Amino acid sequence: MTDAHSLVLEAVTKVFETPEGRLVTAVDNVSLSIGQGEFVTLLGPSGCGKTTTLRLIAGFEFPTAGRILLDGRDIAHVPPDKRGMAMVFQSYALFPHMSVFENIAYGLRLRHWPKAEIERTVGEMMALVNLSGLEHRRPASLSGGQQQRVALARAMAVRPKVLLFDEPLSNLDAKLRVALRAEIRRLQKQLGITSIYVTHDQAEAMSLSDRVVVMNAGRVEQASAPAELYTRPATRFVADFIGQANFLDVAVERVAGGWAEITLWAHPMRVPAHENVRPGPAALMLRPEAICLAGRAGACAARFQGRVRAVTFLGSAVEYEIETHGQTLTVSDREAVWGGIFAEGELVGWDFAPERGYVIP
Amino acid sequence: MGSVSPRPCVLIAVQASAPPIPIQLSGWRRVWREYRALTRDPIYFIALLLAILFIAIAILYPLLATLAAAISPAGAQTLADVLRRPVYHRIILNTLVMGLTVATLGTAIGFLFAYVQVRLAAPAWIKRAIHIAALVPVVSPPFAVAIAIIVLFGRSGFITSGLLGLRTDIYGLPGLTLAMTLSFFTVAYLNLAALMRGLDPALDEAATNLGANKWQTFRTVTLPLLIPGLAGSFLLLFVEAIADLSNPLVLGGNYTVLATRLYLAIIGEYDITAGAVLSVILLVPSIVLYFVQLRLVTRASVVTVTGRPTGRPQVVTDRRVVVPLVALALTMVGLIALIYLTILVGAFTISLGANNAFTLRNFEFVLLGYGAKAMFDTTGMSILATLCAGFLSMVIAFLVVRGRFSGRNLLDLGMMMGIAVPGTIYGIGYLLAFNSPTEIFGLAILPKLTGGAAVFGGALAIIMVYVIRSAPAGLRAGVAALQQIDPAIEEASISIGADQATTFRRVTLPLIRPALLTAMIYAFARAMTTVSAILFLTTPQTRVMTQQILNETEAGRFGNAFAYVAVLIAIVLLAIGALYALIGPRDGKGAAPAGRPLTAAPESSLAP
Repeated sequence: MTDAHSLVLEAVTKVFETPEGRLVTAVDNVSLSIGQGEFVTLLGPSGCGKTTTLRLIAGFEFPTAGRILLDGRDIAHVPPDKRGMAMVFQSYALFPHMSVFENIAYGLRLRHWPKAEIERTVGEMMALVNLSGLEHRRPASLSGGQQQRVALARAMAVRPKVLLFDEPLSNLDAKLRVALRAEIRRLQKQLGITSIYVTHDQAEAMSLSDRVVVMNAGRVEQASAPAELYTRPATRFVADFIGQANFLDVAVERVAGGWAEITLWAHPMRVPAHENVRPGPAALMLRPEAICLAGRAGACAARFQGRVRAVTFLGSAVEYEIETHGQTLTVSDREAVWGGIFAEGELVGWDFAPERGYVIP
Repeated sequence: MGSVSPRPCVLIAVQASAPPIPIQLSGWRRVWREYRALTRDPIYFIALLLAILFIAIAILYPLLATLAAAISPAGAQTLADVLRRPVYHRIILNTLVMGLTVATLGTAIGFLFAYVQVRLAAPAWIKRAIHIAALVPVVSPPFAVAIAIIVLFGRSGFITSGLLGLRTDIYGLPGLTLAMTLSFFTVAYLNLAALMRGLDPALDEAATNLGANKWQTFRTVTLPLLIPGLAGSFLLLFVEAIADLSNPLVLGGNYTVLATRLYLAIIGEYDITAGAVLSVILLVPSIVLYFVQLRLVTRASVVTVTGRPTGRPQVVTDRRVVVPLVALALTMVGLIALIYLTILVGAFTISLGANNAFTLRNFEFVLLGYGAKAMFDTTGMSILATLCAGFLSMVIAFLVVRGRFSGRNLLDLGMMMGIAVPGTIYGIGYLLAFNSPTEIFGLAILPKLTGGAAVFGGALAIIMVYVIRSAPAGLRAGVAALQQIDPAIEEASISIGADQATTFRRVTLPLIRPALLTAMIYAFARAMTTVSAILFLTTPQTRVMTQQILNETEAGRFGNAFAYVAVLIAIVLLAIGALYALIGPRDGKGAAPAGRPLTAAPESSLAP
């Protein structure tokens, strides 16, 4: 499919009135540009406004302010049935009184497609989601994973301009979630449909998306590719929300070309920095696996010393809480499994490669 | 040290636990084991025995007595008569036409009210008015509407004759249709409103999202999902309409239906066999249709809830839809208000339409005069029945939901017969069963309960009828509530040493208090307003308000009848307030009573 569509949100705001008459800003001045065929995920804790944003795009809610442009045309106040989008719901929302075939054909029948064309398309969709042969079953007789595949087929059958996903996998068990998310990614790539996906599961967001939009309290914290989100978080919130992070207080002396010259406990170094970092106090973010421990394979200068306060064996790695300079660091040690585990109370040397750290405001 | 296998412990464990029940035990031996296991907890076992005894004596025995009378040679003769004589064909046709008309209109009005309530963007006061108007019939006797209709629209009706100068005849099918529809549509309203609320809003959104406009969404998604509920309501109203005796007695005129013919056979012709035969003719479709509707409504509520509902329910804001529907609903509300206003004004008037002077004589008659005994008798019996029904329905609900023995669904089914069978038939059944002392193998277990010289002036039989008519709704509420409670909560209590009875009293009962409240409110309202089932059971010693209302109506003393109705409604409302105060939510914001206190509570364990 070549006719992929683009979607732009311009300063979209949604204010709800609670039954008690209080005003709540669910979506606060959100701007976002989603390219043709792009897969974008809205990620954030519950109540961050991601679902409301999706419902604004779908047309189930109308924005209080701002514009929503589909291929350059403002659709912010177009009713949902005229937007040509399709949504996959958390509760599947399959029509229980219709067979699988009728469910998938529903949108096509509304579009008055010829009968033969409907049958062919439904057949294609059923094959695409590996459900051929279940045409005449009722949704209630299908497993959760099968139901969600039907919902996916129903949404894709109408060739939507934008495909919307509202936490579609959160009612499924962990194994099925992983399998289905690979399937969703495969289908989306194959069909090239512009897609927006809402989830609170960071693994899901990272593995599916071209770009992840982290939201908090109705605002966009950062919109980046998954790897950049992890290594170059724009804010403390993002660093904390995606994976684990240690924050060390540092003094920034100079900033130039995406690098900052900082001093950490009297050790000067050059570390990558966010563009908003200015000279003065800032935070150095270190991922637990960016820290190396002395005495392991490979060089570790061990410029710093710390005492092991807690040891957690996780299988693929050992996680230590290391007290150093009055702060506690979380360190993930992949070598420990074979190389021996440090004991609680032991003094260890640690260090990190400066390019693996990141300074944020 | 960890290498020593803990074999001794395993042996002890095996010896201590009961021998495992082999899976391939033959049916009867398994049932025997299950029941023997029950005897280990005496209070539990006694509760079960009492429940079975009550169902057998109060519900099944009178039905069997009716069937036995109908199957006798004399009964066969009557049956042949019924099948042959055109007059009976006419009666059956009348009954069917009335049932279908009332069911159609009642379901339509119920749907209209529910739709405006749940799906339309209408001002809150309108929704409130609609809800109250729909609930008023629950707390008033079934023929209160009929009497008001006579006064308003009858031959010398306040409106038809007084205002419009018409000489209309409201008696017969038109009047019956109007009165029954307005009296019975509440059930359809409550069922359909609950179903509409239960629909996952995401279904509507999915349809809209795929390109369906509001009308297409309604036609292809909402309506098909409501069809089982609509069909269920239709059948229930049909059963109620053909079973009702009081409205046809007051408003039937020459339009004879099965229920009135049956009444005439017993009260007018003293032919109890004919009464039994007619009962069976009425009984079969009633029971079948009742259980079909129960299943339909249950299925509907199951089908509509898949997964976790998300999104917000969509409301219709299009004025072209809202304005006509709200106007129509408000017209109905106005009619209901007019009718109950008539009752209230009529209670303070010498003779509404003929002599509109204000008077307190009607209330004097009811509160201080001849009617006082009926008022106290009825209230007293209703209170006793409420206590029994509330307790019985919760205990049986517990046995049905939590019991681990075969046949517990029969317990449920047996209890539901009390409401599935038309009340009139229970009247006859009680007459047939309890007109002489009940004996088992020559041993009298119950004295004479009905007719002259009955024990307690027949009050015991009346209370029993009240209980069997009202406990089924409580049972449904209790079953629904118990199914919501994780059995682990009760298991936790048992694991720390409480027996079944203590657990039920200290843990389960407090948790299902909202259901108990519903059960008792319903039981009291139902007892106070029951008429068809007790018309044959009242004696000179025991007077019942509903029967007195009927007498006053037949004698044309509408003022007294209205005063009775007003007092009855007042008592029911007072009792609801008292029950709320006694067992209602303590913190003022706890769980409200389950929203479906009526006969067709959809959560049924009878469903597959």
